[in-house]
Amino acid sequence: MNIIISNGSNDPIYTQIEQQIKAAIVSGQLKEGDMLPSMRVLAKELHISILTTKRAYEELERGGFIQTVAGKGCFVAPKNLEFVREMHLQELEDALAKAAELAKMCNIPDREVHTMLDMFLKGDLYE
Amino acid sequence: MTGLVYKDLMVMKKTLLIYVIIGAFYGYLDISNGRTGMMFAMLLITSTMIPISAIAYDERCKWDKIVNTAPVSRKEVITAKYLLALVLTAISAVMVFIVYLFKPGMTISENLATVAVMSLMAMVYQAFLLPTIIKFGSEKGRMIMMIILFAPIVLIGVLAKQEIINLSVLSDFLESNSHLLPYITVAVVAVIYLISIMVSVKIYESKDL
Amino acid sequence: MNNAIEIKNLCKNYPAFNLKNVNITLPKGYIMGFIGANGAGKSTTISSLLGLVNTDGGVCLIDGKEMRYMNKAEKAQVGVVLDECNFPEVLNWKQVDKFMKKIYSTWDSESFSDRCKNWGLPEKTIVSKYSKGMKMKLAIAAAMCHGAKLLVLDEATSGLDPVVRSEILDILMEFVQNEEHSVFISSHIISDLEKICDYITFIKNGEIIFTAEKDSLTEKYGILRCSNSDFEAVDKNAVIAYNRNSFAVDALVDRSKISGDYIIDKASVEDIMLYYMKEGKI
Repeated sequence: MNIIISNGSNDPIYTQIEQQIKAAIVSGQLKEGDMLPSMRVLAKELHISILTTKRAYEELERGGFIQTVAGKGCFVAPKNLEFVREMHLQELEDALAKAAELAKMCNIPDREVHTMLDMFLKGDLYE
Repeated sequence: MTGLVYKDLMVMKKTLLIYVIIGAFYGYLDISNGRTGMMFAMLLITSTMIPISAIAYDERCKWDKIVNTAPVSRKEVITAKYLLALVLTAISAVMVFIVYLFKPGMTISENLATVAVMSLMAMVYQAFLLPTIIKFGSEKGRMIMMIILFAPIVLIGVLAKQEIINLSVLSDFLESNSHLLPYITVAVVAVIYLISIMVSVKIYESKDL
Repeated sequence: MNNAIEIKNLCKNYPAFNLKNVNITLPKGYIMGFIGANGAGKSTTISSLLGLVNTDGGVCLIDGKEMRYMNKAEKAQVGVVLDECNFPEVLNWKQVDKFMKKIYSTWDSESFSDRCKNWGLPEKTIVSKYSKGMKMKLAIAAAMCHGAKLLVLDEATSGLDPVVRSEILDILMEFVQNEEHSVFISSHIISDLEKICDYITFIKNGEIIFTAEKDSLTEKYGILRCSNSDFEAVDKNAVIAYNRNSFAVDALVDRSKISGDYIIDKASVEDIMLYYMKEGKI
């Protein structure tokens, strides 16, 4: 698993960690029951505060992505399908929003955009 | 506490060696010209000077700060310095004794008396010097030390030259005059020494390091 | 559970300088950076914590106990590194090992030797021939091999080159892998150390200006960048301090008190510290 921290990013470091672990779980790179590095190891490796990694793990736990077993560590929780769906939906929304924005900017009529999307959905449109 | 004495001995190893060599040289002079005193004075200085140099070394690297965060009490830090002084006095005494064995015309009992006088004198010096150094630091303390240390030596030297007193008279006096006098002297010195330790500990305990 | 460090209402009066009601709490398992300008009171606070000076009020507890009332075993659980190497300059580390194991009953000669060797300290070279970085490593090695649970470092990284500073960072992170271990480190240059600190305490003129989780500090504060005319409209309650030039204003602000569309950059701990030092110039 890769975790890349950027100091230039506007997201706080704990969010960056949270999102990258989330992505790894959603993409299946981390599987149910996989053990995550301990907060202290992660902090040491990334040269960041332990409180930061702690907060990232707490957020992940709150989101149901990981489970903490006292004295043993943190593990990837059973995949919550609802949650994964939500994540994907969010991503889809973002992409469509971007498409809509672009369409508006270039004055492409709505109908044309709809047609385009329909064709994509059918899988016909490969240029 | 032995660790502290050991550390000081390691630190002062080279200085100690130099003093021993110079001491031996003076011993040779004493034997060859039939006098008493050169080596005696030299080793008296050694046994008081080295503990003070050890304190100066400590000051230079701010050892006192670090040692007081170690499992050692301030009392032990000070007691260790006195212990070091006693160890050095003992080494000096043994050296004087061995060298004077080869001194023509000196009996063993004269020799022992000389050594005893030297040791007791050294202890008295230490008893006055150490608290001064601990209170004022080695720089200022050294000046005060010179005065305390050399005034009596010069005085005795002058008096001995004028043949007003003779060091062997002193030992004869200690040997024959009274059976009690040596014991009294030892007791007095011991009490002075203990008081000195107590005073030094008090000074050190109230000090901001 | 006791805190690793708990300083309550500490006061210490010197003719020209006072520590005023210093309060600091460091929970076990974390690293606290103690920052401030030279002469702000960092070393005095640390000396008080370690029981090296007599205080004029307040208490300094390490794991619930004052250092000067600790027994030998408890004292051995505190490792101290001061701004210089406090070992006699005429000795080498082999000799340091020899007498330290007589002072600490918990002294681990093997781990000390290993560290010294791993950190490239030559066996036969005496301390006075060491570079500053080597001296610091020796002091840290000594502080870490008698079973310390708390490491107190006073200006231990100042004057070291960035490579050594970064190595020390790794050493400290390694140390807190054990949840019982904590680190209290003071410095006037914090930039690289701020990365690993969990808590930051800032002292100025003998007073604690803030003591907080580092993340909450960097979240709370930001650097506002705007034109001189825009700056007039900014709520001055939100501004801690600012820098004005002919083209723009940079100001350290409390993000929560700023409304409106402004450019607000992230503030590093060093930024926050620098602005706080010139506070009052508003």
